[in-house]
Amino acid sequence: MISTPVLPATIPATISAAISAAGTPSNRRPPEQVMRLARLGSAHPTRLSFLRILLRRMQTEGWRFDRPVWQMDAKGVGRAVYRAIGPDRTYSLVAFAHDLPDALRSDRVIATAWDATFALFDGTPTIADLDRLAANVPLQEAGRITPSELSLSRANRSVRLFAHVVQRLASGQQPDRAEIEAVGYLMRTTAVYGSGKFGAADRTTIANRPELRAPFQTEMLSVWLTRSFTVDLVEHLAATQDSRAVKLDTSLRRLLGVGNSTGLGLAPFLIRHPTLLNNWILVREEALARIRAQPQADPQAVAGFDTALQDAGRNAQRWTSQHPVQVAKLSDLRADLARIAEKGVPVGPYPWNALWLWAEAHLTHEGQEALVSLMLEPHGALVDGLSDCMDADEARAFALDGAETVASFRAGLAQRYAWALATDYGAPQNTARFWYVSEEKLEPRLGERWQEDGAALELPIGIGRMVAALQDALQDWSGDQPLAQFLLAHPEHRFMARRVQQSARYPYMEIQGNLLAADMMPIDILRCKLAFFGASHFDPRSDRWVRISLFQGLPYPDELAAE
Amino acid sequence: MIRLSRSEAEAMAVKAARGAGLAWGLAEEAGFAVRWLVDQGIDGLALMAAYLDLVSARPKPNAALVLADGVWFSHDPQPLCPIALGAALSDHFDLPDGPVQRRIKLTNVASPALVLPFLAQAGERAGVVVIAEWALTRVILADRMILALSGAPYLAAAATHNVSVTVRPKPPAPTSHPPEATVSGDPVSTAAGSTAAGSAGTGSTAKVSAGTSSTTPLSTATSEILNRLMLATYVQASDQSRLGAGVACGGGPDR
Repeated sequence: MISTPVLPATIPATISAAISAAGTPSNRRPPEQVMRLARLGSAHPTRLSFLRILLRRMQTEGWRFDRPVWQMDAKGVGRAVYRAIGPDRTYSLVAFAHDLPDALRSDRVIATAWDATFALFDGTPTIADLDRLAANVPLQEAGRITPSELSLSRANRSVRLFAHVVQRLASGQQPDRAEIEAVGYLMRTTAVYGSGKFGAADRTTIANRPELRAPFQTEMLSVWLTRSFTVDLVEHLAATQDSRAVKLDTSLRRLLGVGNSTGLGLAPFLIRHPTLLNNWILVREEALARIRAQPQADPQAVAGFDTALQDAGRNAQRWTSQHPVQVAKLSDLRADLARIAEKGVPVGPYPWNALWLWAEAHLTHEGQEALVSLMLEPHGALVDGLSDCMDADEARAFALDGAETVASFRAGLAQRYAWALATDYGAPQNTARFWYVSEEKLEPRLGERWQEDGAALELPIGIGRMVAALQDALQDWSGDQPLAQFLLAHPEHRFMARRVQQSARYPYMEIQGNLLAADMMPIDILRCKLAFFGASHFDPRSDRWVRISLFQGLPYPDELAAE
Repeated sequence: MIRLSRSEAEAMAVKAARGAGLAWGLAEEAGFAVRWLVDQGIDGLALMAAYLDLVSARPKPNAALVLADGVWFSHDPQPLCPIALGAALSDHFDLPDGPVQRRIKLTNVASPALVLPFLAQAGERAGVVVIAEWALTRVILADRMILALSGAPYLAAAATHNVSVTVRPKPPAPTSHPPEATVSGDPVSTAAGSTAAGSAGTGSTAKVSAGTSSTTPLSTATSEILNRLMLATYVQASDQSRLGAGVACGGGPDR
């Protein structure tokens, strides 16, 4: 049975409104449990992932899609425009395809040329817009875009699969299913920039559009339309090579997503946007709590759960990686999914909660977090509305309250940062790493403090160490003094003091682990963010970069209405 | 001239402030300040760059800000840092020594316009109207915006002023024209002579429209200063550091 649920007093206003509207008591998993690195590193995509939110909206609202421009030569060089036409606004992916020599192909942020470059245009571009974009988009960071553009991105071919598909289609055959499944995408993006970068429109100017309110909707739309582009390109190249050429079979086409190659740059994002991270996690935990609070299991929900479980099992079989950590996790996942299938949804009151408690006692983190996704999947009516609570008004959370007493502040710190205060930051292995930005193409990197230079320029990522230092500095201050006086004397603690105050209203904002530790794996942070994007097939290539696929198995624009 | 998005301007200000030697928490405040100024149609980035340029060239102050009897000052001969001062004013806003309780004097403040964002933010939280005056300038802040301004508030960074800050209760009915707004003489302009702020008009009782443009200009001079300061936050690459990078060196052979 669920214990008496208690709503914490400190919840962002939008989420508390959503909760009271739904009328359910809440028994969310606490931050101390869900914000550990090991659990974040086992995150699975759910129906509340950003790409799912996008597709759901476009389907519900009956968006239309067309391709008003396709100008490609026989070598696959040229431009294309893909439109997504919604009830109020239209968005256009402008794509430029290039002839990239193999030797120049690189996933690194220091690359200067790509197989294809893109911008998402706000509306329908004119010829003048296209010409302006043609002069800038292929340059990526070296060019400039304007507030008429919402995102900037680029992609490279997966050379082997791309060539295989073109060759087969050209000769009138379909590509090998196993080849497709082994890679999962024809092209992979190596960066997708939004939110004001390189001159693109600021988030604040578009955030009040309902279709863009949820996080990363422009980036997800851009990638989804890029997926169509990759298929059109292979079909085009096949057709120009040979008159026998055929189009890609639609069931094979479904197996293709858009790959993405992601390194460390994504990790500091979660630390720099704590209120946003909080809202993502809080929404997911609220969703789980609502399902656990169901007194009975709706038969349709049980059927939906079983379907999702079978899909997950198949997905886990297809999901491959060579990284030893991921190999072990995949083994855990497959075993746990089998156990869930064997267990089934229990009978009796509060069946979902019973299943959940069983999972916490018997499954690995992988299995538990996969179960979160499975439980959410058939309960759309109960949880989909929470997507409106996933964005954040970061400006509102910014100001410090200098009137709070030192005593009150100290107590809050000790309570909410207990996870950080037990660590001995004097031990070398506990501060073995430092995060910094390299002068070389401004790339975020992780350094070894005791072996290389640069720690003096480290980024404020080591939250655990910073909060311990703050606690130390507060020791001699009398409790009735206002925090303002402490801040005046100690500007070096202002950054952390702000976070401590924010954490009272945003309980899930901190990654509760030592991000400077010798054994910390950045891929745990990456997996959390990528799961919220909706990425499947998380494939670490080292402890600090990963390949993933987006939209694999999901509909194309011409299939959306029929789903 | 390049036009930056607001988030680019904010991000550059944070990094440049850090490069100029401010603590991270104050660098964040510098970013907030620039963003607010840009939202008001003021070239805050040029102002901030000019100020940080001076700061980075000076020895660090060795005396903290002092608040006594409603006067903010420092025993250091250097002018008060508007960012540290703004943050402190915001922190102290509701306290016995803060602007809500009494008229405040800020002595010898560098580039006082950079204090305005903090007064605007704190004033909104406290639900009051804030009036900041220095030299021939008078700025009225309410609802997190500039309600009215007169004089020539955008002064060269080298100019320091004594500033007075007073607070009034917000008028009960929503209004854009508080009774004490005055007619100005001088046109509004920034130190860099940008035309962005010119769109605000000649500062009479007109409400300065927030976010008149969604971008802010970046002059070559400002860019040069900011790039130099930001460079100070980056670590020089070495073979060792390249190994610590994200994606594999060379990026492929891919599959």
